[in-house]
Amino acid sequence: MASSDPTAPFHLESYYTPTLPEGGDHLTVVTSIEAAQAGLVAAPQQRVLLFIIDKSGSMSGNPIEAVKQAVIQGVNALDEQSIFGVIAFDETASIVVPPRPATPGDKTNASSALHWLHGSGGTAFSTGLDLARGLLVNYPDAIRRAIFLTDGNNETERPGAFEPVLNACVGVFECDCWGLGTKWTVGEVQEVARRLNGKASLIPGPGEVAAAFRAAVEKAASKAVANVRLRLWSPQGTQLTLLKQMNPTIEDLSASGVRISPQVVEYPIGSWAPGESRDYQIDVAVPPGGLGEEMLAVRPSVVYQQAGQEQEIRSPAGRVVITWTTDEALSSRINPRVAHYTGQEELAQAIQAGLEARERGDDESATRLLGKAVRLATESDNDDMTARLKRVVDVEDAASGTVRLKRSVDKAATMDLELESTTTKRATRRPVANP
Amino acid sequence: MRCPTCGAIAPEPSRFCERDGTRLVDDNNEAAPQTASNDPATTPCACGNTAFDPDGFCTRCGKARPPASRAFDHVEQAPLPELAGISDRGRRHPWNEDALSLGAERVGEAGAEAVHVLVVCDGVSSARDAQHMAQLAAEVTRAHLLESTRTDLAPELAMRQAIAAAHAALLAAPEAAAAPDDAASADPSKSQAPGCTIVAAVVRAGQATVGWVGDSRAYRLDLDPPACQLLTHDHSWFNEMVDAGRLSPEEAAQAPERNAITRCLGPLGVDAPGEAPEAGVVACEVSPGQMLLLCSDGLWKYAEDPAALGALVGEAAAGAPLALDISRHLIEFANARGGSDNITAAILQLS
Repeated sequence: MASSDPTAPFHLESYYTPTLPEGGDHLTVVTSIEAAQAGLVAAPQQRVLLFIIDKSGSMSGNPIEAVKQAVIQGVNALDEQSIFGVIAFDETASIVVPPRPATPGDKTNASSALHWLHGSGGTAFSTGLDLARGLLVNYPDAIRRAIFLTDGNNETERPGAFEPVLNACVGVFECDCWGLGTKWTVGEVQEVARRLNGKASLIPGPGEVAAAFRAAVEKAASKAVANVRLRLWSPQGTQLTLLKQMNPTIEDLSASGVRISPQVVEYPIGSWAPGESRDYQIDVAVPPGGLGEEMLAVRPSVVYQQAGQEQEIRSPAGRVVITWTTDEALSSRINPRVAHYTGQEELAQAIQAGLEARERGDDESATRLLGKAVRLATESDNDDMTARLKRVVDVEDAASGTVRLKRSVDKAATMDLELESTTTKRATRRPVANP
Repeated sequence: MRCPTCGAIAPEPSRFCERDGTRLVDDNNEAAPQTASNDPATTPCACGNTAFDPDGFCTRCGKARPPASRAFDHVEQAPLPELAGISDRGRRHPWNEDALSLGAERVGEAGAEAVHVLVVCDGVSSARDAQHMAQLAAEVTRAHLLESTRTDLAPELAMRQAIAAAHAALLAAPEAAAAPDDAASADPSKSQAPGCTIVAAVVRAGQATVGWVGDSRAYRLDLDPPACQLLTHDHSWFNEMVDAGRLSPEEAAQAPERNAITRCLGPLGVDAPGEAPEAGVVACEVSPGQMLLLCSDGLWKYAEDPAALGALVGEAAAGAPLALDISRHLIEFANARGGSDNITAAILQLS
């Protein structure tokens, strides 16, 4: 199906500079994918949502009580067609609430089952994830999501157990991860979220768990189609050297590509909700063509299963058609959307490097890098990022990136900044400032 | 064959009706026969693959389906021993977007007077339709110029009208209306619209009337002793700056846009609908022994100085060869220098 009409389930649009210089052999494309608001799928798909809760010793008391309440509230928000379950883990995992439909009766039973949950023991992420996988493989056609919560490091994990379990979970379910408090490691939790197509976020304290879970349940419930793939056709002699999601967050997907034929590679892009949109960057290496020649360099499409049949959606505006020219004025142009995301990536890198420098006591570098981040965030009107940065630095002049490190910084503020550093501001149709 | 629109009889092979520019098809509704097949369905991609996706791109190498015209890669026309021309793709461009159209008639009482018409067009822009536009402009201009010699119309006026007719034909062509549907491109559609330059000459009774739009040129040459006079004045950014006194020749020669043309035929050449590019027109005498050379920039860029071009033509004309031989010599010269653009040269030897 090729369509740019509003009723198409997905719309693709590619942004790039179509004129390469003579001998030009590479280009960068930003492809925007948007799911239709209405009519994304013909019939609603079954949803399965599991809560994977850390019940280690440190969770004992307020934390586990707050989580129990939040789970109950979250489950109450589910519709009756959804299936839910609860798993708790320490060094081992166990089912607290076996998967069942979210009917009123089952919700009440779940509440009772949760009552007995209390905190004790160590922490081994893989046990909870593996148990979730074992349950969710029984629903191969459903939209399968998990909400994972921990408050500490993965310290009781058996050596070598984590990687294989995580690998086995890929493609079975998607997982949003929450770290409660500040005694957990951003990298560990992000690893789970990244591999399982979700987001890692920080919850400052027990009082904020309910709101976080409500948002997570809403997000899970909004998904209408699962196992969507981005399929890229390119001609012989062309290489796709990079594929990165750039919005809502920066994720390098290059390694997850599967070549399904000599000229076609597919990348899993997870489940989508109506109206959802994401931007992807594609770097392409092409054989230089003759002056004036036109070449279709990449043709992206969106692929998913519906009623047992594969659907492939293309848009004319998604095609990447390039030509070669001696006109330097044309070939030196940079597409505004491409430039925007290049800038957002630079911003993410500045934040990460700045936080790392601060961590190891290199205040001079930290000041310079976080100052650069403030400047970039200001230039791209990324107010969210500026607000986060301001919890870590005092800003003297945003335009020039002049900042001072705050003497005492809330650990939650630096962890939150680190977690959100890869969240980008979406490129708008008309950029405010010229790059 | 007959033109389906106006009924005029067209000599074969012709792509366009000489009178109204209608694209010609033969009775079987296939494209007019060419020296090579130009049916898109059978012309394979340069990579050898014969399958194209619905948008016209090769399913193997991704290149756009070749515009149906390898046929114009090397075109030779020699209606008379003294009137000939060649249009060649050159060495670098994937297809030939230059066009050549030559004509000759005998007019007046008992057809005592010879009239010669030469037209050279150079398709502009990377749009694939530039080639079609150039072919159309050249043939419509030739047809009008030949027609006008059967009337009393003043030569300069006739030239302006012929070029205006060519411009109108380009605007009316279906390709001109189709703006590319490419939301991805930041370029205004103007730079994708097709257009072409033109230089045309009518020679009758020792008078040459030359008209042009763009940077295709006409020269008048003497052979003994060799002399070469540029008759046209390029509509180029360089000339515009220098003529207006805004830059010195040295300064203008530095600018990267020095060779950009400032006028051409077709949708690309006008800023607003309804406008028409103003042609340059010049008239001069031509005497027996002299020669007219019309050419595209694919030739003169390799011999910008008229004196150099004069020497080249003198060399080509040694031994009194036919106009076609002289044309060949010029094409070979340009290709030997690199052939970075399409090359077209048309020659008329006055006797």
